Amino acid sequence: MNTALKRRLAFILAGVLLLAAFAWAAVRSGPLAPIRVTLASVSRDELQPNLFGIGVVEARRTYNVGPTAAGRVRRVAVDVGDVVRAGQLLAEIDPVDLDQRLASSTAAVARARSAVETATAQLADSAGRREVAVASARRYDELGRQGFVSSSVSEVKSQEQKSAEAQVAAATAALAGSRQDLARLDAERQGVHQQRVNLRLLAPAAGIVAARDAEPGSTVVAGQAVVRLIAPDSLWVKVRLDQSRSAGLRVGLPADIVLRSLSGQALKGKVARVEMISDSVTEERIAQISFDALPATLSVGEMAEVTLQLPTGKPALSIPSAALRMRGGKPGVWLNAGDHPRFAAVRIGAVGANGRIQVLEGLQQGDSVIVYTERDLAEDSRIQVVPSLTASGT
Amino acid sequence: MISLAGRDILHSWGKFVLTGLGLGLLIGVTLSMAGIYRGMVDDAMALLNNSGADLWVVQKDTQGPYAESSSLRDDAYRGLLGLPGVAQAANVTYLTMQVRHGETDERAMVVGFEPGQPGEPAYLVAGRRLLRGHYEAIADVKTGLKLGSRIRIRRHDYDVVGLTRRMVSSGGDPMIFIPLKDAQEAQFLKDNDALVSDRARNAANPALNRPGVPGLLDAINASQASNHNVNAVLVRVAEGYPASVLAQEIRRWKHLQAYTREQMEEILIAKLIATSARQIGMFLAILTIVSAAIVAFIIYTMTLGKIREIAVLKLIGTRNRTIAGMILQQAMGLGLIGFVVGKIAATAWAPAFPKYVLLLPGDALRGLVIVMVVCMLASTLAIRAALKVDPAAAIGG
Amino acid sequence: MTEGIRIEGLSKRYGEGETAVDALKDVNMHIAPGEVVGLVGPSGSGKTTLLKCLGAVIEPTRGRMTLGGEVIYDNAWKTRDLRMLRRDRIGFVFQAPYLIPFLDVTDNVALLPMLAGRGNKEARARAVELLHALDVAHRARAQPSELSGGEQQRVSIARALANRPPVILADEPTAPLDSERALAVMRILNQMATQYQTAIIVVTHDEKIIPTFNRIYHIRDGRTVEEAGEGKTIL
Repeated sequence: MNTALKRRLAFILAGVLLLAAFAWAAVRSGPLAPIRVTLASVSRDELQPNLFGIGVVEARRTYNVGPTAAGRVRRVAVDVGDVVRAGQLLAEIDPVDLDQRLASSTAAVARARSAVETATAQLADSAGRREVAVASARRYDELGRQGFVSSSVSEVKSQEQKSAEAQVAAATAALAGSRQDLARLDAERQGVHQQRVNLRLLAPAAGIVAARDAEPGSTVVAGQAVVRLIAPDSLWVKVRLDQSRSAGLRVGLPADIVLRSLSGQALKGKVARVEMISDSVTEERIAQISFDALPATLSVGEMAEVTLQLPTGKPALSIPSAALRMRGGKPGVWLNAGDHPRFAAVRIGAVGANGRIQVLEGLQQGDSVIVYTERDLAEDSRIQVVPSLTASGT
Repeated sequence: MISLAGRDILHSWGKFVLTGLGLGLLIGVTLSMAGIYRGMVDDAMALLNNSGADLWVVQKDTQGPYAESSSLRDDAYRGLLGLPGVAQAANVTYLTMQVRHGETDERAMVVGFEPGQPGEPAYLVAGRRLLRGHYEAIADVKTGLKLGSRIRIRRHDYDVVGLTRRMVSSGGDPMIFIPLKDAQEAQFLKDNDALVSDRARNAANPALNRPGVPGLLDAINASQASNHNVNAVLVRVAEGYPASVLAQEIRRWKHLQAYTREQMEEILIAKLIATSARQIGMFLAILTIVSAAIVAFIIYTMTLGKIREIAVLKLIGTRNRTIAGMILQQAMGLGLIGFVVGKIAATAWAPAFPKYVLLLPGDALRGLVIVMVVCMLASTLAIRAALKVDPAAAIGG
Repeated sequence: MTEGIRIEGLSKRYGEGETAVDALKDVNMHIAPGEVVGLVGPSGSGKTTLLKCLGAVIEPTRGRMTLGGEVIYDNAWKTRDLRMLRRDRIGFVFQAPYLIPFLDVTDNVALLPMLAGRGNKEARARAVELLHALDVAHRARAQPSELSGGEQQRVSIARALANRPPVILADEPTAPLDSERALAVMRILNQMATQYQTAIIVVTHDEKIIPTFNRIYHIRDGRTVEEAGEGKTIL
């Protein structure tokens, strides 16, 4: 063939190829291409909903053992990690002058006892004198009646009898008084003793020492804890759940607990208590989850992730959660209806653990919903159905 | 009449094609630059569209949350919900940070959102929406993350359970969506060393560490370590209610600023992108001049190589018009080949760019017109040279 | 005569005043249709200037030129479009063929009729006819670069004849050729002159072909002198 002709043909071929490539470039780029989407059909499933929250390991009962008045710590008898029995001495506050005051009180009591003895003796003395005065008065009265003595003498004796009676009364009163004094001083002594006893900090219950907050010599105020105890078998997880996602929370739900320190394992537990007071600032509900079996290494304050299993519902229509769209604040899905998609409002129910959402209203079984899209859809979008949008599948 | 330009091109097709390829690559770069600018604008628009908001409520006297940092109390949204015309109001946080994945760090904008509220990604390309309240994430495919990857943001590990597309910050960084509370913690909570030193500082302060008030120090430490801030509240306006009226209403609260969609567009496009736009504009101008120079040079050289033939043509009776037309057609043919090659190249290599390149048909058309005009102007040099040729030169001796 | 070329009192002055140079002084020539006339002279004699004037490439200073019965110059150009004049009424044959390298042989010859407004098919038909006459039609579709020197020269002669001009100006057409080829070219020119009734002026100083002319114009210092040539018939 003529070279000129060959050249011309080659050029035409190149031109055609170039135009084809150009056409590809024009169609592929920009907003001319259709939007690729994937579909799923509405199916009837059993949904396994669950609730999720973050929690902190806490002790059910924590005892902060400290003095009821300011003082200086004299002795701390236990250290962190020690196991203590109920009543065991944990620490002692410096009594300062309490011992002296106790001695003073004791001495005062002794002295009051002596005063009682004195008053008793005086009473006896008065009683004796009264006996004499009574006998004397009777004798002189008899004598007076017989006329042996003058009436003034018998009156004097009668008066002496009355005086002796009065002295007995006084002595009795003095005795009572000194007895009351004794009681008072004894009570005071007991009070000081009680205060002295108070300075000995005893474990209110059996437990493990969790913290030793003051050392001997440091000053503590009333209410400040010197030693903190926790009851080791009372560790549970205080879990916080979003208020908006805590429907169905109740006591007894089974729980899976994943501790930060044991992130591979899920420990079993259940909801032991649902708090009546929620956190209104963070908008969370609070529940306490107890462990079925306490793990060996557990620390208070450790973070845990808790998943609560709600009971499986009856089989219901469900769609993948990715198909849900919000339009004007209302949930709905895009249905594959011919060339263009159609938006259908739905009412949703529970959310399953596998990411499927229950549809209460708005869809039929077998409806084809659009799940994944490359771009936001509108009623007039052109769509192209593909099996998957990402290279890795799913 | 045969086409002299066409015959000349066919005759020295090699030179033409090579020049066309070179010019084409240059034009491809020019189209890509224009595409980068359009991509930046589209990124900004995507950011605004994908948030699903009609109003952005931010800290007073700031232009946040994208152009400037803004910090609000996280209970501010409750007051906004009470205003007439507010259909939805939700907290969001935005923080551009390094996200750890395996051995590598990835730069991403971490978005904290509430499911079902403005701020959540509108559509997914894989996976599912967030189910749990914590430690799950939806990532943009531009991060390169796959479903099931584990990423580390500050203290916690997150599972990637969903993927989206075209969710990018105005700077082009891909977005990763995590629950609002986790995002608040990530943004506002300090690292352990800082916390420890803060606690030590508080303990050393006698005003805060009072012996007579047990528990005061702990309470202060806890209060300082808690985070109750967000970057913005996204508001969706009720049907039919004018957004600007609502924005005015919100601004009257002395400690909040509200921007409508148009105002946000202006902030992002006019202010954020302005510098880049100018840079790109300069590049486009330079590239156009360079292309013009190349076309002028090539055509001029080709014409000079034909001086003798031009003299002969003039002598035997060819009009100046015809000769000028030949040169002009060659220049425009070169331009056309260059444009076609450039458009194909730009489309082919656009996905490889780290930033989003948006090639619009309108831009391509404009590019074509400019290329043709430039070629016409560039050919004037050669045409002048051709017209100056004296036909008498063919008669030698 | 009314046809052919007639030149009367043609003068060409370059420059002004003291430095003026008279390249042509009062030249008179006439060539009849079908005649092949030689224009002989040493370099610097003004023969190139005369050729340029005849070719309507430069403007003479004074005089009168009649071409194919039409006065084209009478102390001033009588036609406005010199290009059209050259295209339609004057054919050029050069020292070198000067074919357009990016057109094939047929299109090189057909170019002039196409420029004159003829349709492509008609122009090409006429080109092929001329190529036949010049015995080079077998190379009709070839590129000029593929032809031998002699073939190229013949194609250039065909191009000169394409628009059937009344006059052909040949500038040293045989300079690079050997005597056999030179005589062949002269034979063709004579044939074409007779066949198409074209007046041909051949500017030359080639000793080989001078004997073939019937008439020769000698030119020296701008003046011409007519002389009868040997008129040797060439086979």
